[in-house]
Amino acid sequence: MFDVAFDGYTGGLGQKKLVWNQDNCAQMKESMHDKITPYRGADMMITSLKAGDNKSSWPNPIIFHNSISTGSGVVVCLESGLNLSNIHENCVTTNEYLAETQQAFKHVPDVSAGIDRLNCYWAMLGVHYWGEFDAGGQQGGQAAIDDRANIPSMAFQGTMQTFNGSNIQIHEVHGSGHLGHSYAGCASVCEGRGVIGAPGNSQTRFIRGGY
Amino acid sequence: MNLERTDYVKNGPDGLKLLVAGPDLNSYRGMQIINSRKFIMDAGCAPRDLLRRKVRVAEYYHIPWKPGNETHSYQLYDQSRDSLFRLTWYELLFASYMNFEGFINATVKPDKQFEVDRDIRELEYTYRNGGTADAMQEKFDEYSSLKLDILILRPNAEHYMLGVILERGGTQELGATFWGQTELSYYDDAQHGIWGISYKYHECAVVTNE
Repeated sequence: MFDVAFDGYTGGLGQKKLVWNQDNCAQMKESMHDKITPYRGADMMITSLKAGDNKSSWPNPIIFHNSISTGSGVVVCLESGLNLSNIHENCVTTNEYLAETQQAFKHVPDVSAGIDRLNCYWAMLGVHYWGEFDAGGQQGGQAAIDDRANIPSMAFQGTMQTFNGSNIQIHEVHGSGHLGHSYAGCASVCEGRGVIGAPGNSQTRFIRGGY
Repeated sequence: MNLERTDYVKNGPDGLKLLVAGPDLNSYRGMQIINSRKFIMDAGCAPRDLLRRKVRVAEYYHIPWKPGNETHSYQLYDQSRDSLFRLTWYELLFASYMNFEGFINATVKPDKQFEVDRDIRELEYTYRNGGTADAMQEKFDEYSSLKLDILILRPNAEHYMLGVILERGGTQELGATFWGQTELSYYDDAQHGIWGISYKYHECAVVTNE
């Protein structure tokens, strides 16, 4: 089963920041566990990590949780049902594979300095590994029957522009992955209403592809 | 580009319905298309289309530390408002503050992080109390612990998605269900003086590639 077109936004891509305290973490966790109703939790989890020496860019996508061991039951890409053997180089925040990863993939950024702090964030959420949110995760067809969403374990780069103190744009990252590049006006596409006024009688709908 | 002034296909009530429904394609490049329909899945609930489902995806934004970050702002997209919004580096830093108060979870060990979060809190205090740019810079320079990478995660970007299932037809891959013919016949049993009805059927269907 392939997702080929958007048909409505239901939440999670707004401006609401998670406040890292006991009550808000509990609410966030509850919202993430509820996969039946439209998502109503915080939109952004903002973390600060101790900077490492390596300043090279991160891979895309990243696996952002701290364990991908098969024993923990985490499936990186449930939809495909595939075991990805070369996913370690995308695990910028792993703990247990860090030594192995850095040995094998010299180009992977050094985030070892930030791992303690990141683990502390996950601990505040009460998460040992991200797959807990999707325990008993189902493949596409079964999820459609049960009308429940899956919780992803990997994240693609999102669209972000950087402005300096003089309000001049100095850097831009174009989003990729499932959502693609974001810009003011693309909500209508994600609502399933994006229609190009093409000449003649031809009818064309915007379709943003999945990964 | 010269648009038609009168585009009958897209106008009127039927035209709007047609635009919402999308083009009605029965085949695409030789492939047959079978459109999905809504079905009642649970008694008392509205019918659902099984090829329309909620999907959550995640995005990340990584801001590696470098001198000057503290004067920058970062623009992200808000789909609920279909607009872009900005956050300063300081706002991102303050949003990463961890308040450990009330946590009894043994896995939360703030030992090494406490100092960082204390510094974040003190810097935020200056910011909230009308700290000028110079004052903020001076204060920031005092804290070497705050030269941090920022990682923003949006782990629950949720949309309804329309899906397709691609299958090759035939008994080998998509499979088939064979259901034999039935026969209903009346008969006259003159020897015993009765009339009867005989109904023959296949008790089970034959399913290939179940």
